[in-house]
Amino acid sequence: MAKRTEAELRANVCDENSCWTEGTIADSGVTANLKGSWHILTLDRHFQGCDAQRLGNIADGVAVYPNENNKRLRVLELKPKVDDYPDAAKKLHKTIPLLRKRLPHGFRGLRVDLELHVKEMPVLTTKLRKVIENEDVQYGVRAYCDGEQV
Amino acid sequence: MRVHLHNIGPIRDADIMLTPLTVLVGPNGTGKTTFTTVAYAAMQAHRVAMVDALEQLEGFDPGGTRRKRGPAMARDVIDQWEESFAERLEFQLRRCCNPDLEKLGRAKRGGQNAAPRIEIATDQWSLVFRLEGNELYLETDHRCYRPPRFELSRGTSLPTARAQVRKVLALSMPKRGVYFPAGRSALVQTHSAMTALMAGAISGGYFENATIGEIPGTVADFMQMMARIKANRRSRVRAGKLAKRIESELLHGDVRLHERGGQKSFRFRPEGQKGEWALENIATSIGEVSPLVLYLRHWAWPRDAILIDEPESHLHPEAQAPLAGALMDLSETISPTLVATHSELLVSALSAELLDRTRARKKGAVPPKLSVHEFKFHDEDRSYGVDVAEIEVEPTRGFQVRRFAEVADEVFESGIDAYNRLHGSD
Repeated sequence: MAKRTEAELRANVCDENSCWTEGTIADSGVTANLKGSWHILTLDRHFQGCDAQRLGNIADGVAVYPNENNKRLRVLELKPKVDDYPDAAKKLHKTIPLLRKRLPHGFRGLRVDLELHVKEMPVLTTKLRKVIENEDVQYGVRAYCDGEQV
Repeated sequence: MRVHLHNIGPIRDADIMLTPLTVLVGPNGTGKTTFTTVAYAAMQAHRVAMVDALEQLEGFDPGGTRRKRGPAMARDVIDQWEESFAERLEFQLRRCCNPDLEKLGRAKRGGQNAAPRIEIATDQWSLVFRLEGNELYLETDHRCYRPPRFELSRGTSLPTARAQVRKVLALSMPKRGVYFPAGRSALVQTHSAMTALMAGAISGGYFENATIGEIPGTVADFMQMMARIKANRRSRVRAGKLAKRIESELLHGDVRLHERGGQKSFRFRPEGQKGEWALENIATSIGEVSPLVLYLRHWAWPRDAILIDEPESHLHPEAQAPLAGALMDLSETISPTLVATHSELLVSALSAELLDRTRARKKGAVPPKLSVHEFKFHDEDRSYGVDVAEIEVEPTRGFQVRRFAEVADEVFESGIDAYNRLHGSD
């Protein structure tokens, strides 16, 4: 499943090695460590430079794990702190239909996780759990700092 | 003070050193209340044992003309204290935990033989008690048994000797435990009726038939405290400011104590209103928190230890954040506090308070002392019992109780799944 998804992303979004990274993704001082060899398509960078169709307000990356049993599709947005969630939510919200259209099978069979990766550990330890809805489907959003859910 | 329970109630092993604020978390039935109750029983037992030890000391003869003097007297004091401690602990365990000690100790655990033990320790001594059948024994041959050590020489005056005994026996032990049981609001709300029932039962001569004797000791002591609180009796510690803060931030009103012609009533006046309401006729949350306010105003002593079962019950989440601040204040400025809770929000707010207070301290100052312990059933076999693990508390990073997050994640996930199934998406 994951290999197919990666192939579809490469075929329908970008196959340039410069737009792909492994394990970690960094943007404006924030680094997201996905803990493992996740293959990450740096969406925002791609749409800002590589793709002729310039798109703004897109999530920073989308990650798949190169293992057939792994059905997760992680959509990543990097922000300095959890309080930046409203801005991150807009980007994640815009990214969902874009990805669904680019994947020939849509999200069928995939588990889509929306993730906000932050630099600063929040003061309150109650974890961020939000829902973003698109076309009558709900997607859960969680936040991470240093690879740990916060 | 350290309390180590081994095969007591659902607990297989719990070794907890009480810090200024000790927080116990864990699912229902994992023994948090059992642990708290045993700690309370030990505090009550120690209080009486101290009195007995000091009474024994009255026989101390500094001149050395009588037979008993010096080391022999010290030994007598220690013996008396240990004997008294064991006797009172057994009594308190029967009162507060279970009249049948055989049911409190678990002689079998996961099909294996087990030895139920209670260890109470300070820096100066460590007493180990064994539960065997329906009896409690002091185990002097256990490797953890460490009797207190002090010497009373011939030239020592009685006040000096008394101070020495107190220092060794009572150091890092609370002088008195004050227990706030779960379901306080029900007790407060039925307080007047219960008092009338008790009075009626006594005067009617049928007290023996009333089931009042079956109230657990912790609840009875709490009710006794509420009954003995008097308007003109003031606390011996400066706790008025904290009581006021709890009233304004948590209760949004004042708790009042009225006494007219020997009749006492607890009343509440909501903020900005003129009228007053009896506690039994007002929100449950007021009944839950008001005993703490009344304790702070009228009952607090120096070196009390406060034990609160479920401080968050009946409180809306918006009240739990100020409750965390109040608990931190209570533990830092008034008395060591032991709290058993199920609230993720309270725990999270405590972590935030810890970070805030660490930040507010001057560089190099000691951060607030707080420890968190998680009670957990054995992963594969519940009959194996409950083990307790200390959660890492870092003053600059806070702490997390993972199980709370896991449960919340599961609920979050199932909510999304249910929604998506309902709307036909896969």
